[in-house]
Amino acid sequence: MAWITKDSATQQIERRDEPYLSDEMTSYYTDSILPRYANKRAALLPILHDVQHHVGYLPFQALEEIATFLELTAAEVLDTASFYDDFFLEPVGKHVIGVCQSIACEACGHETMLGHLCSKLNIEPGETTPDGLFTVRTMECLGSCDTAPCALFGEERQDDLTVEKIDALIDKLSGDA
Amino acid sequence: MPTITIDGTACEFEKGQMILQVAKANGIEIPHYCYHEGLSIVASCRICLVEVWAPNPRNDYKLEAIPKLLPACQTPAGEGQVVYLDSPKVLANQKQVMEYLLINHPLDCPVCDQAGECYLQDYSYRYGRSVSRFEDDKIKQPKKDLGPTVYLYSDRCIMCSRCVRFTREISGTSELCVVGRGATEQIDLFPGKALDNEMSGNVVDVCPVGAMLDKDFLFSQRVWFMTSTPSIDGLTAGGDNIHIEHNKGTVYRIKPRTNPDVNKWWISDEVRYGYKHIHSDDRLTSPHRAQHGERINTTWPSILEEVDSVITRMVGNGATVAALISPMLTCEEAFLIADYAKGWHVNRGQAIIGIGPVPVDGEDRTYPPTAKPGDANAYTVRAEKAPNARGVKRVLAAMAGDGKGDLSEPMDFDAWLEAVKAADIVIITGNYPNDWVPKELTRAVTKKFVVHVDTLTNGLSVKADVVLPSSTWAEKSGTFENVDGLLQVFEQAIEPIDGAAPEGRIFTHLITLAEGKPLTDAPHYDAGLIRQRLAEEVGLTEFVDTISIPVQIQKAEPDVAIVDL
Amino acid sequence: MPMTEPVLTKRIPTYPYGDPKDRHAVWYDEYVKTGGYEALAAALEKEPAAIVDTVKDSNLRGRGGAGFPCGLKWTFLPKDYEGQRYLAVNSDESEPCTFKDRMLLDFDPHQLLEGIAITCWACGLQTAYIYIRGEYHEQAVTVQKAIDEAYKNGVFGKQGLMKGKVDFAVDCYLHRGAGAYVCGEETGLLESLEGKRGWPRIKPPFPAVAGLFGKPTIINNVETLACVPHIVQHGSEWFKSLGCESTIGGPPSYGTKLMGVSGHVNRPGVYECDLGFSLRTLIDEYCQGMKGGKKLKAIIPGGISMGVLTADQVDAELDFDIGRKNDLLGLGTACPTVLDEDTDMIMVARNITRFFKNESCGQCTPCREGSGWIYKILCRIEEGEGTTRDLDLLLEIAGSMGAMPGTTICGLADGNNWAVRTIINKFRDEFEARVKPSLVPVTMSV
Repeated sequence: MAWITKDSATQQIERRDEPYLSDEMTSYYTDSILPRYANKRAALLPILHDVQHHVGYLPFQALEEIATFLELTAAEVLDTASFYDDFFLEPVGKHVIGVCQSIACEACGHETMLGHLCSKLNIEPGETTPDGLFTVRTMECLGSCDTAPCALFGEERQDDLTVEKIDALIDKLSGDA
Repeated sequence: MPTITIDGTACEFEKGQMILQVAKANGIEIPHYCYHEGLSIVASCRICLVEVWAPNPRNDYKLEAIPKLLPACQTPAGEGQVVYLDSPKVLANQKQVMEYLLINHPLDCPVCDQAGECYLQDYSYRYGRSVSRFEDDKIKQPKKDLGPTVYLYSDRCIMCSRCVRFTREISGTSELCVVGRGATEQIDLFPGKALDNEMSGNVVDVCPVGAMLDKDFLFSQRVWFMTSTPSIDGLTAGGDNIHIEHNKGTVYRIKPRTNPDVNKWWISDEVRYGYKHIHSDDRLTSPHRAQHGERINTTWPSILEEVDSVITRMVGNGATVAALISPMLTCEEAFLIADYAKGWHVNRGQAIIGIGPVPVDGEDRTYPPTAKPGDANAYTVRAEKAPNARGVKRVLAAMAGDGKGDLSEPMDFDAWLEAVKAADIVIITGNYPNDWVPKELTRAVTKKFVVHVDTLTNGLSVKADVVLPSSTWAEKSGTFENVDGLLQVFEQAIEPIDGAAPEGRIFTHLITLAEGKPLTDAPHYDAGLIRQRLAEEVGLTEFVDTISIPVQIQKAEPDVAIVDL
Repeated sequence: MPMTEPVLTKRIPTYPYGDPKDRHAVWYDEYVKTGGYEALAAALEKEPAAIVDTVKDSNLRGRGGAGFPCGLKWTFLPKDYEGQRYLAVNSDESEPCTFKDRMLLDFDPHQLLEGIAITCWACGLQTAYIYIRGEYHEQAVTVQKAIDEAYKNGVFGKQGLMKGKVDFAVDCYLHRGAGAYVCGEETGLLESLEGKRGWPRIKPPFPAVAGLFGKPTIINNVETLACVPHIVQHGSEWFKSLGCESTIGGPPSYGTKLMGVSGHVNRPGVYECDLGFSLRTLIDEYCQGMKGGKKLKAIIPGGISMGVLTADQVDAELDFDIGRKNDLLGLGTACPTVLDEDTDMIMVARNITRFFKNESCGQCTPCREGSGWIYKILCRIEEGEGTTRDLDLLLEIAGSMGAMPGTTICGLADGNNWAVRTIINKFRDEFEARVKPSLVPVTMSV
């Protein structure tokens, strides 16, 4: 069994000069989000959501900036962010397609839909198309079992999926780009 | 006091104590991984589950079983409860948790540093099942470099989260975090933000398995070959309780020894890794004297006799004696050196006694950083980097105050430097872990007869008339007084390195010679006897009454009968 | 007396009372026009303690899965406590098969907000957080819009609770989760609200004593809170006229219940029925029977953690007794997923255990390690590589995670156990047909 090693202590993260948290964003957080909670840390999830909404994912540099803003350590922010499936710590495609794989959807043909989607985009679940347009991921129950099989296309849920419906959606999203 | 019965033993407890704490206090073992006395309770490892029967107030206080197994670490003890540690449910849970913990564990004990002191091994033996039924692929996880002091072998980790809690609750640095969730979660750092704080080594101690590894100790010894000697920190004024772990005369590591009144469960990295000078190449390993600028190595008997004859001759000509007693030395040694110096001043003025420089580095730092000074749960890294400045002063002051007038009051280093100008014979002790000799000292003692007793080569040892190699605290026994005035005795861990001798022995021999007796008549240097003399001759009865002596760890007795084959 | 008109779905057209095609989000004006916020107005006329008594008397049991009496929960708040207290609204509806709260959020968010306002007034809670699961993007937008309306119209905020009628103010905020089932566990939810990983807390202390930010906190499900305005408006006797009594000497199941049916039926969707409604009627009449006329094989009665029912158990009544009567964990969320004769039960078991493996928070050893192990074994069995020994092993592992109660901090592992155990026990022949025989006993030593 080969050893896997990781230089956690010396690893360099990707950096850019421009901060991810703009002044506009931080003043929004200060004025609108922080006052909702009894302490700063509780604002972490809303802020992570907001940053991911702007950037598409959560770069390590952004986590560091959030940590500084909320007076936490970067590790504490990573601890929280890495717990939740919907926070992406690595870049994802412009459109993230989350196909529900829970029981109602699997019983109603999710496998066909996922298979079709993957072969159409020529990627495996968890991967991103080379053009950076689509990421396909599997998700646990989306809370729409009556319309199984279903999937999240970005922030919009698509119900009663069929092969034709998927084709149309992908074509539309590809066309938009 | 309320009483709870644990495993058949009636135990008194205080309200608020958890079942596990009561059991511990009464010497009853309940297996646990995530619980640590110094950290918050998370009750997540689930191996400490016990079966509890409690009196039911709604049923005439009859004992009734609580249907759920309860975590002993998190369940407060209750009056009249009965706790079973060996009920079928409890045993089944223990076996199952052990099996779970090992399904993704690499079982690489043969090459694991923790082997021999690993709670996975111990509990497997005591509470586990003999076979695993897991036949699928294990989850592989990386071995991580966490920083200057620690490696993390994630594949061995059982996610007890003690290390994470330590960095959050004690060091206050929060470098460690849990990344991910479920079976694939692991402990990690934020990329590039190393575990680099002055308490970092403690995460290795709190780790119950071989996941957190001390880089300094990595692959250097199998733990079962080492002897562990209870000792006291010999580098700072905190008086931290430690174990010195050694094999065949070599110290391999220092571990904290729990003392709720002093260092709790922790030691700073300075205390942990500061022992390196013990085996430094710069150790003085042969007594020598200077002759026309040359360094002449010689033997112990001849150099001691020479020192004695030179001083005898000089004193006969009216020379006076000064001694600088290092705060790195034990109370007993301070007594002997002062005793030796004053012996030359019977009815003829005072020997000039000073205390060596007391290094101070910055200010005291308290952990957790939010703790207030004096907080019972706080650990303090002391700025004062000498273990016994107070103890030396206590002894010297008592000796000077005995009314005989043959010793000066103990002076601080600067005052002594001034006073030493009047002396002709100077005895200087060092024993610092670094080159400590300031230029003023070398300058102040030129053209005097200098007997230099020290451990490491330094600016003075190359110039002194006589150099006597002494030994570090690990190589002797004695008493240190810490900043809080606590007198703590420690035992000798290893034999003095070749060619060196503890200051206590050196001065016992010199005193014998000064009394006109041959070296062969010198008594064996025994710190315990000196403490008695301190009580009887100097009136420091605390050296007999209130000193704290470490409890020797009993060797574990095998719990299976050994039969002749 | 069975329900004669919709209660919770009054404004959400639902079969058999209306046509779901007519559903639309009901905003403030329409809500008020159709009798909305009358219950709040009535509540503000009453002493808070009287409202708590009414709800307690109504025997309203939590609709989130555990069925804990809501009014009783409210009484656990410390008495004579002046400081900050919180309401956390559990809208983290993440259990597979469950989608009933989503409908309330989608179409009648003010019903929930009215319930929140009344609960806050009754229990003296100054701040409410609606913890909505991250996947509910559209619902978050809807609820936020409704909250904004409620602020504007004097329900929440400084000039709130009906425009300053009472000397008490309630703030209500939306807080989005981000994809973690365990945050639906009430203390996991609190941790997540505090910006931490959603590791459930050890209890005691219970949230009513020390919950969010260490302050007394009430945690209620969306549907539970949606019931509150109706109880306050119509009284506890009215509420008790709906639903059913227990037939096995347990606590009663009063009120109506949203039941979301999914799977192989002709008309899946959310229905509102009395508690105690027959599962057969729900499937055959409300859902218009099995899709394609196939035969019924199994029903997951309400959230995968409850276990499964066989076709023989289709006459089960959907009330809080269902667990004890049918070897299930409980009623759960009462959202049955219906599976037809072509369904591979090994696939079902594998799918469910994958969910629990993915969603295990990783805190307690049995769940963290056991859930993955079970999943690996079931994958092996599904591929035809399992042995009969594996079946017994599965039952033992599942049992040690949950059946022997209390081996973990929260109930996630119990759910895993109930699902695996009931599927294997009730469909053992199907499993045995798939595995190879093994002569090695499962337990070598105890």
